Amino acid sequence: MIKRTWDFLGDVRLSFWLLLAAAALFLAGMFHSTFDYSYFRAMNELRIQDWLARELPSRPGANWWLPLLLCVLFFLGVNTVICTINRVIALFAGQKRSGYHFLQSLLPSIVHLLFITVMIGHAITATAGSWTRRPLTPGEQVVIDPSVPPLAVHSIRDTYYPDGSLMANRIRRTEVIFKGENTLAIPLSFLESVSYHGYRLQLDMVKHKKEPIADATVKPKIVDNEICNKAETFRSVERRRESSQQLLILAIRDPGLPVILTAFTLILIIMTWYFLSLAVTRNGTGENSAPGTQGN
Amino acid sequence: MFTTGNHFFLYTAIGLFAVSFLLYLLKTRAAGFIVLIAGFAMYSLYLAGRGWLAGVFIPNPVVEGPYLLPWCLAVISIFAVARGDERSGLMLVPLLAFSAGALFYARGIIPPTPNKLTPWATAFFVTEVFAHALFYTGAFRAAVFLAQKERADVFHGYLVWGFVFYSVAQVTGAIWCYLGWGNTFQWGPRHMSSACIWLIYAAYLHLRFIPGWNGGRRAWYAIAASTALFALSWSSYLHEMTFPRIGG
Repeated sequence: MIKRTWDFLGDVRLSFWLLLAAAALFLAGMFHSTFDYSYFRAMNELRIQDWLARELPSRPGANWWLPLLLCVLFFLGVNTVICTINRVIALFAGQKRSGYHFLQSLLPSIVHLLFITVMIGHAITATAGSWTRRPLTPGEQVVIDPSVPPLAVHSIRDTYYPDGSLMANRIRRTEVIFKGENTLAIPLSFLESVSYHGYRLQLDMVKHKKEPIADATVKPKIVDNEICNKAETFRSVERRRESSQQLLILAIRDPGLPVILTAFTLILIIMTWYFLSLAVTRNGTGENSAPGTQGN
Repeated sequence: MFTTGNHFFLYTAIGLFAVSFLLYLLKTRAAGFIVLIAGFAMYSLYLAGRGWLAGVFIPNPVVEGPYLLPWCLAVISIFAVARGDERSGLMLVPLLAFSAGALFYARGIIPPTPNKLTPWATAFFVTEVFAHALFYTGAFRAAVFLAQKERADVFHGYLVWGFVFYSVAQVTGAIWCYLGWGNTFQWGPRHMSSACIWLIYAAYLHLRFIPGWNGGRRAWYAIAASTALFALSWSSYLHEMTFPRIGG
């Protein structure tokens, strides 16, 4: 009985159908989130158990796919582990290859274990991460967490695109200077996060819907015809920010992030190595010129 | 030149791709290859010019999916010729088909917000669109296989490398998303459609180990997967056509 269950859970046919089932459930989630974008956007900043406890009973029609997806991903994880164990046992039992070739034959199993690690990393993020947003106004204080010293918004400075370009009235870069404890200045820009008492701080912006761009195809008069020279002449001015653009600070705690990034990077390196070595081996024997023509 | 009349390069490039295909049909392969290279050079100039459409260089329009896809398909075609692939001329069919898509797509650029201006975004789009190009090429070669014109290994190789590129895109995309929005994965349509495509092709890779899934059945799967990819990615591209654009 145990052996039959083990064989069933470790069958590659089950892997195939679980992968397709997960794809179908993501597709269902995609359709729901397309038609209810704002509703599902809120899910990105809540722990998944909190979301399910709050939203599944109140809107089961919109969330039905989520518990199913989590179940399928769980079984996919179990299936991957069992498949990998079976394969590694078989490889060690019938080991007749040289050291390098034996290592090469182990690579797909290592990739599968790393895939499990990525899934665990996502599970850690989804169940233990925290995301806190606060609006930013110059001169005001921001409290991220009562246990962390507050930050004072010292200044907000926008850099705009050059005047001669079609992007002239648009923000290229925003820098916010905070004053933390001991009046230490902390600069923060989009895409450049900083660490603060265990949080990762980032800038974010909420844009309310505006009218379509009028006369967008009509270029403003360009004084200097050498536009290449204007590429770096961004103007740093205290221009009034549009009322539709609310600047926010996002404080993140994501314990799954290092796990996800490390495992994913290793997967890429190993996968590329594996398929390249296969292609080289096959080309060397003249058996076939197509790249990566052999699976694991 | 890049900001005025830039689209001339696009029309010329597509014309050259069509001439190259014609030369392939007429069995003048060397001439066809030279014309293909000329078309590729023109298309590269067009893409570079898209970066200047707003009067200041922005990389995002250069790597916009519908425009980058024919360029990637041209790279794959050139690579196939260089490897001595006898059926490389047939690969001009998907190139011409997606060039037609670029021909009718919105010309202007979507003004990027500051959190979209990072090399990670560029890396994401390049790897993602390259993966799409490999998946479409794989599906096309699968169709050629079904017409009993070549071995199953050929289309399988393209799908494997498409999967590698698509996985790279998931990593670069996750890093960009974290830097820009604070999550490596978002519960939104774009991320869920990417996850769906990745899983469909991950399932494909497992088919070689399932008894009964011979080359013919796998070829049908590859064609079905590329149909799903086309529906998902082009529904997104068509939606982006409705976004406010500037220039072009």
